[in-house]
Amino acid sequence: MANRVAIVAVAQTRYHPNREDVNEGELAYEAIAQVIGETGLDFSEDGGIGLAITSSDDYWDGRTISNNIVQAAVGAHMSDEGKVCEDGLNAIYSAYTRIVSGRQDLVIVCSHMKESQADKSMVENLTMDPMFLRPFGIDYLTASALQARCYMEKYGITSEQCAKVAVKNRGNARNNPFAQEPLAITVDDVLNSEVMADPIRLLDSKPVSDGACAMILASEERARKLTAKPIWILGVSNCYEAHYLGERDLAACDALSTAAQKAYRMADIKDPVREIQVAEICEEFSYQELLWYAGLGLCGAGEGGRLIDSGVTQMGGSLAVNPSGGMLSGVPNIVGGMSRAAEIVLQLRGEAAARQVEGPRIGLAHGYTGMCGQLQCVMVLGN
Amino acid sequence: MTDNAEELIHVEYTQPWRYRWSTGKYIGKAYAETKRNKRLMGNRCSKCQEIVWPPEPVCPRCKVPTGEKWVELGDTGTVLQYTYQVMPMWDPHVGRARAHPHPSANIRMDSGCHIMHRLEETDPEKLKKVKRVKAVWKEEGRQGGMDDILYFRAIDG
Ligand SMILES: [Zn+2]
Repeated sequence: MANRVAIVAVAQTRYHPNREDVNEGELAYEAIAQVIGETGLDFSEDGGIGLAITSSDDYWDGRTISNNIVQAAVGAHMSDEGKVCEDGLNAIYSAYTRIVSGRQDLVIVCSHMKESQADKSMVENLTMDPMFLRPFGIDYLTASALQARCYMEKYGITSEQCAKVAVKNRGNARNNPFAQEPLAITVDDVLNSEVMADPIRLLDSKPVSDGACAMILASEERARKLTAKPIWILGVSNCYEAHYLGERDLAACDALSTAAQKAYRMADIKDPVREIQVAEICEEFSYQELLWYAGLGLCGAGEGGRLIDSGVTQMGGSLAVNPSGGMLSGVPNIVGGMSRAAEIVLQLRGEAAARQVEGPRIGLAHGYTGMCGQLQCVMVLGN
Repeated sequence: MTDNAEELIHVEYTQPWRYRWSTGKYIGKAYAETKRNKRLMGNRCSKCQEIVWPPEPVCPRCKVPTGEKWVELGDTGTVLQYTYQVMPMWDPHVGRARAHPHPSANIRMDSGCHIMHRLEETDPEKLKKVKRVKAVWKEEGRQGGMDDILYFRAIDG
């Protein structure tokens, strides 16, 4: 029997549009100091944290080896260290595998990002293949507008249904002390906001955001000594699909379906809608939450609009999605998936305060990296 | 597949890369000190008492917060290694490579910190004898940071 792995401490900074008062290392340390302080752990060879895995992005940070600037803050100096240049949920996955293998029993993970430092469109364009995509100047907003159009037309999803996601998530954010943009808005407010790339409007999109998230993962033996409320990783998987949009069915999110099914199988989840009580998913644009619902098996293909209409995913519904406010309320790229998992940990511990869902036992965290969700990661957690 | 030179093509971009990096408060302090007071400042770790350079919020060795006990690195030091650059070097300020007349050097400051900088002396023969050096600060136009020092000049003793 493989080792069980638990998340024993989580911390997030408050998300903010421009943390010009700190560099990336200082920002990361705001979250790191909390998890170190809470567990009382250190980095000693005798029983301390043996590995640091961070997630950040070279292009976003404007430096290759973007983990250099957090090396001291994360305790990686002269220690075992790794970086995941992808969404932070993959960093947790990487830490998980090190503990499952028995190589480590305590790992610190941290995801950090200052989107305010660079131009989003420039960074995203640089991630594109230089021969066929980059010359058009397209970025994730443009690509996502194509995906939104494809998805909405194929299944008759309306702009009102997308707007409901923005209203729900920004409204939920009012209960989240870490949220950047808690807003009481209406569907009409969303539909009347400025068009960014048709059909995506300003309030359908997440704002520019800076922030960090950190966690400590532990083997079962160490976890039991560190906390009375370990949160177990029951299932995890990721899946990658083609970069070139023409290779993909943009209305289908096949990579997400595959990642979710593998994670559910590992966690022995047969009916996710009935067995999962709370989900935190990454949605840079409102249509994505509806599309990802189907990819995550929470509804059938094209039924995302009907699911949001039903109220099931609202606070108080049987499967609340994004009680924190999600990424739409302002969470940086790269940090997205780790902060989703941190929120699920708080939910499963019953420590989510005003955004607490009633008595959840199983939670779902999702993160993605790249244009239109090219790399998808899904994690099932339980208390 | 092909040996036709016309089909082996280079695709080139000349893109501006614009970033706005925050110094944070530790590096910000060091930058402000070079600009205002022409001095190099590092922070001393509250645990091991070593100077952390460049300044960091956390001591990389002790892995605890360094604190804000600021100390001067001083202007004098000893050249440990130098290299005489023949090839043009990339200049990030102008976005192209250009020849820099001054040799790069690794200098151990008398305060114990090691810093990377340039030497005033450009003659390859005379360079061999350069050991003790002192910072030559820009009198005007200091922007904060290591470029506020023009180069290190050879001194006696
Ligand atoms: Zn120290």
